Amino acid sequence: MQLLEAAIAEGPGELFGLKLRPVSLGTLNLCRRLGLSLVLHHEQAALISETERQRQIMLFVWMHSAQLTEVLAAVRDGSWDTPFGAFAESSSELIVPEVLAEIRRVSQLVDAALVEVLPKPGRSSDDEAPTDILEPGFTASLVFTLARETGWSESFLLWHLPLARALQYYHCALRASLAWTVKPGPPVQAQINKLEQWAAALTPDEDDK
Amino acid sequence: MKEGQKVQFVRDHEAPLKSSATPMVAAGLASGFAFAGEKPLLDTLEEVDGAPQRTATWSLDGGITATFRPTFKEETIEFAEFRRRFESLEWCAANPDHPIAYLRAFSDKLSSLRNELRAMKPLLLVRRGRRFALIPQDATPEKKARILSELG
Repeated sequence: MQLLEAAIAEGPGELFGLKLRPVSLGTLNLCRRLGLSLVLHHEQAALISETERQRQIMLFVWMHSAQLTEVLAAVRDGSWDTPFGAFAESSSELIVPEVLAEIRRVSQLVDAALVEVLPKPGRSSDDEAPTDILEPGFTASLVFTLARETGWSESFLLWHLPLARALQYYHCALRASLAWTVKPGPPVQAQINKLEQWAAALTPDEDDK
Repeated sequence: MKEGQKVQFVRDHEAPLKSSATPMVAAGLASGFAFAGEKPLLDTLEEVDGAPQRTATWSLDGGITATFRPTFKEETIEFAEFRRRFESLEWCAANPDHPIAYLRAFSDKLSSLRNELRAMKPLLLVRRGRRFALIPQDATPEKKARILSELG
């Protein structure tokens, strides 16, 4: 509950003199597109090589500090390595541990706000739905729901509303619609680690006994 | 699988090499039924209530029927003759409706399935919310990361 309340104070920040937009639904989407596993699966941070970690950290800072129009245009046409390269050259003094700590702090706030919907017994389930039903994307679904509930603009929801708060508001919308919301399951990487251990204990010969 | 195809699923929670579903599927194939596609088995390992759960799902073409014709005469034979017939593919091909031909076909199908199963490893099934991903055990870290990024 403390983390949920802490998210209320989230907003634009500053690191090493650079003004940073908050981590938001929009920047989470960019993190996915650019493969920032450090942000998407922060529990894997220790598994990422030092060089890759530094690259991801610089990318994270660039996408949150450069002009939004410049970032979006570069990501859209795939030319982001040019402005990012220039930024990385000029910002080589960025202190990695402090950015990592910031990513970890925001990730904790986001994790605390994540929920998943529990299907209600006796209601129509996925099994009964036609197999060709299409679901909207994660970002579009959240923005649509929050815009419908609040009237806030798409731009605000995508780029200026801190993700940790957006998720809490989305949770409010789910509960207002009487959805049953529960804590999500264990992080994906933790699931994989456990499954890999179990799988390693299986061999075809043992299976065959 | 093709659009509109009727599929019969055979699912259980045993490793396919141990499961009684595998001989049953082999018996079905020997009887003339067929798989629904080129990848007829989905073998997964996932965590359920803190424990590993294996799920094997075979997909068979539900639009196929099998005909069993009792076109053989009652007879009494010794084991040597049973063995001769069982080991002779020519005899089995010439007497496709005979029980011995079925037994031979079943034995061949089961051996072939088991050989394929020995080379297979279950996919790791991970869930995030209502989405799930299937990860091959030998996936490269890059492929794994790509699959996970689809999960959101």
